[in-house]
Amino acid sequence: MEDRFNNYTLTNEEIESILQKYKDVIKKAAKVNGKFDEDCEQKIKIAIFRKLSRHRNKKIKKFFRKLLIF
Amino acid sequence: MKDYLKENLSKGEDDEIRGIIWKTAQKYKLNIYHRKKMKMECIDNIDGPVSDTYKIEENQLLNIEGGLHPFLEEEKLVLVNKLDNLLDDLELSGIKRTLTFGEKLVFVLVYVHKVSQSLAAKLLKVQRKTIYNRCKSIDKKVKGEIKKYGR
Repeated sequence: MEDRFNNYTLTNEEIESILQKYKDVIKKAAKVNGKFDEDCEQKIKIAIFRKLSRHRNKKIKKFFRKLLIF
Repeated sequence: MKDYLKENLSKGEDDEIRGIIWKTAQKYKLNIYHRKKMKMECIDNIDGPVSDTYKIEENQLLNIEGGLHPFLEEEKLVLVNKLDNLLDDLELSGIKRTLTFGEKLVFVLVYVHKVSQSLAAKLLKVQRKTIYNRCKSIDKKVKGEIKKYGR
């Protein structure tokens, strides 16, 4: 399986740039009853952020574990 | 390692992001739909006796005349059951549902029988601060229920 989003360990800046790229799609999806819904937009952004950074903590934990071993 | 600040996303990554966006939006809209449905049900249940006044003191929940002593567990249960039945009669099941067992006991003592908080603490064998906290939460919950039904 291909390595997507550096194995889901993107930094905040990288995720922000991706969110900026998909701004229009997010605005289109966040329409409720024909009106733009800010809460929906926020939910989408949080979902993307959580997905793309879900292995970030694991990476940090691994690093510290190695430090402890040596 | 790919640098996402400079490079573009691959086809698979693009698809994944779009999938997250549309799925989350769909979930959010479904949630809103269910919430609206629930509100409609609440409005249907409102038709209760709004103008009726009811004196709870007349319905003796507690027999203080027999002398005061700390409540036994059975006495507490009987008291709460009586209050539940009373609230059911008054069609105030919302309040019945929101209050906890301990809060109902405090509600009967402090609000219905107007017993002082320190005496209520002695009767229920708890600290005075506990009674104070329960009173605060009862106030909040009952006010919330009143706002809900617009009474």
